[in-house]
Amino acid sequence: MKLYLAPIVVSIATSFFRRAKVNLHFNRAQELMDSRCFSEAQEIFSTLFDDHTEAVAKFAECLLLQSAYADASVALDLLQQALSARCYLNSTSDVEMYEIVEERANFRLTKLRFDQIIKNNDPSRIKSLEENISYIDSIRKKELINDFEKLKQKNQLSLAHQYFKLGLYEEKRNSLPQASKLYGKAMETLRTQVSDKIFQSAHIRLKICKLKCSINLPGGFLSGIEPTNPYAEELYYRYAIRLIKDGQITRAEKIVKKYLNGRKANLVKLRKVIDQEKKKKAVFKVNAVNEQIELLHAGIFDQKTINFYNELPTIIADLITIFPGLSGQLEEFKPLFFNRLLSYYYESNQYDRAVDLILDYPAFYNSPTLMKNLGNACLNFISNHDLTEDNYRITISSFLSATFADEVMLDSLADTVWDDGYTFTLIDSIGAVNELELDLPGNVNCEPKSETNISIGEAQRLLLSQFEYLLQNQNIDIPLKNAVISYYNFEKSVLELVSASIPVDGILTGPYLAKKYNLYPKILRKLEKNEWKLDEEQILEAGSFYNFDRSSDFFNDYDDAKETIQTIIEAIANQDLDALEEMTTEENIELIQSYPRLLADLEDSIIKAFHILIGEDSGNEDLLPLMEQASTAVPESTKFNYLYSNYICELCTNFEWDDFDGLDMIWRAYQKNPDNINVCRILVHYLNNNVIDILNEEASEVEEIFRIVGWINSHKSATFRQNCELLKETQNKIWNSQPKPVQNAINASFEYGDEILEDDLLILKVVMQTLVMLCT
Amino acid sequence: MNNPYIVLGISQNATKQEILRAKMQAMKDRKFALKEIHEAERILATPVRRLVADFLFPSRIKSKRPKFLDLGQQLDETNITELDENAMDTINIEIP
Repeated sequence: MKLYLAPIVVSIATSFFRRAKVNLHFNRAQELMDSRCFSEAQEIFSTLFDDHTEAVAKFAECLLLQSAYADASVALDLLQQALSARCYLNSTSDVEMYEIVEERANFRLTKLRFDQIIKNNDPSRIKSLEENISYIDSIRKKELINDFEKLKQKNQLSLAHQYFKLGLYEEKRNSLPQASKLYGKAMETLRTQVSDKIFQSAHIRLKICKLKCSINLPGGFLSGIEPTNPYAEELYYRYAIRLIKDGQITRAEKIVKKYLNGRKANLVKLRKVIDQEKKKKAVFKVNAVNEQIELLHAGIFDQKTINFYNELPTIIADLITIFPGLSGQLEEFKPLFFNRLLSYYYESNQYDRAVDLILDYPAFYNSPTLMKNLGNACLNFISNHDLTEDNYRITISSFLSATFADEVMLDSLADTVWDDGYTFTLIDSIGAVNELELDLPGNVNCEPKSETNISIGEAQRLLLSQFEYLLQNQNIDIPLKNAVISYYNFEKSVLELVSASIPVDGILTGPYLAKKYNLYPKILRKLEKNEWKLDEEQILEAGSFYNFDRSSDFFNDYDDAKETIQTIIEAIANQDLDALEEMTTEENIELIQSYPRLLADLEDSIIKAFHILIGEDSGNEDLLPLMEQASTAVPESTKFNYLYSNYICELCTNFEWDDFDGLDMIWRAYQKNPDNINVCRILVHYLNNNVIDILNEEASEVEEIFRIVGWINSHKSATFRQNCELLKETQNKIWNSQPKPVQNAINASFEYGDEILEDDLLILKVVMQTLVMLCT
Repeated sequence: MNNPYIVLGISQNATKQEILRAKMQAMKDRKFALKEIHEAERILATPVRRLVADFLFPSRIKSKRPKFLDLGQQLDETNITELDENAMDTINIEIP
């Protein structure tokens, strides 16, 4: 045993002493390193590479530390040695510890190199910077990643600076392609730092080179340029000149106004040239205008003239800014060309274009002459062309607006020579003339019409009938025709209403035209004033057709009430009880009731809607809940109550009902219409049946029957009383059919109480009492 | 039916006499059917119907006889060729 143990003990002891010795040396080296005795420390660390895991890392660290105290060239050498120490790493070495030191050594090395490159302004600077950047990119980075990034950016900035300086050098030598290449390299180097001044400067100089080379310029040529850069002004200046040469004066002017508004002599000259170029262009336009005038003088009118008219507003706007003195003359052209164009469209039967031409004329709706032309163009349009629904709308609204305007008729009248002493009266005109009366022409009055005092209203009505005849005879689909005629009637009725509601100080337009040309606010304001002190509901009704954007509080409540009525009627038509309940709220009904005419409309519309539904199906009992709900909207309506009770009578008469259901139904009718003779007769019939059912113990809803009987008893109408014969007969018949003892028993119960009666006799007594009560 | 003023080839200013003369002329010219010419004359002789015909006859809006535009001013002598592209050269500016 001892023999075996001895070598093991010796081996352990040797290992222990060896380990202790290594640690002793390592600690000694560490102490030397801490006291900056780097060479000695390195020597010891180097002997421990195979024995101590941290020896290589410490060796490298020692070199790194030493480099901090050495001058640059020695430091670089020491750092290289530290990096070369990687080759001493073995399987037991602490690699992670070494790589931390290695990263720091690399950082120190690249920084020192950068400092050296900047310090020594030698010709190989660009190459050195490129190499240093490549080296930074190639090494492993972990702890110092941000520091490396900053260092790389510094290198890039210096490199870009070098490229830029070389670019300037080449540009000065007029070697523009080479300069452009270098500026491009500078920008590429700084592609992650585009806001840097060098990037901006290179960017601008590159564009300047392009301008110097007369290269075709792409769109957005100035995008990304920083105007405060010292090279920017030159770029703007050169670019403006290029644009002027290319004939792009407006763009050149924009650049000059924005960036080159200084007082330098060259800039003043540049602005002057731009002004001159603008004038030269304007002179071409002036010549074009004069050519058109010459053609007009010669009576020539063709497509070119039409195009010219369409471009006239732009031409006028352009010329006025350059030659303000021409503004008066230029403005005179519009009516002139307009007249020629209108004549041309009439001669060539292009009434659609004539309508568009007038509608495009500024504020045409204020001119009686233009409105007259619009009216007759619309009439011709309808009789000569196929129209879309939208065409019809604008045409109808325009024609009616023109025809309803007395001012338009007077303007038309003034164009005619009347040599036979006729006068004209507005007494029955369809327009509103009050304010016009103040300034009527000499041959116009408001006296009764006669053979020599001609009615303008008659002429207006003739025009309307001509237009209506054309509409009726349009060769179009029936649905479209119905829509068109309905639309015509709508616009006409609105114009009639609004003409009767306000004094007009201009031309009143129909709703469609008023909306399209934003003329309705003026009409609404006029209506609100109510100068003729008319019934307010008439004013509200007229305004409701023009309150397009709901901007007038004056009309909004009324419009809400109208909309509610429409929704109620739709709900009835669709037999939608939920929607009807939702719309017939107390608040909604109160709102409608505050407008008596609307309430009357509601009553008529409800009755009409139910008539339609009953016409479609006269036995539809589902209408009853709908009718009951509708009656909450018009609770006082005798017409509706009549319709309701009558419908129940018809249901009761034409169909078979269970006795209780029949009673329940007719009782509802009786509540609405207690004096209707049919209702009373049917009610008596069902009361009779239900009482007999109780007597025969066949009634299932006894309590309900007595509830209804009780109600009827306290609400007996005169008509009911007059028609309850059947009940009396039943009463007598039942009583007389009873044997004497039964009669005696019942009579006795009045004196001795119901306790003396058997159940069946008690029922008989109650039935008899009920019948007597109802007949009394 | 064509507008009676067009059928008779007259303006709205035509007097009764002129209308009659125009009717005779239109009958000679035969551009329109005789019935249409008679009807045109009848319309213009009936005041209410003439009012309608007036409404349906396009009117010219007020305009003046066109005059040629006269600039009445000379353009300055300044010419684009006078601009020196290199006048604002900044290449010698120190690098920012």
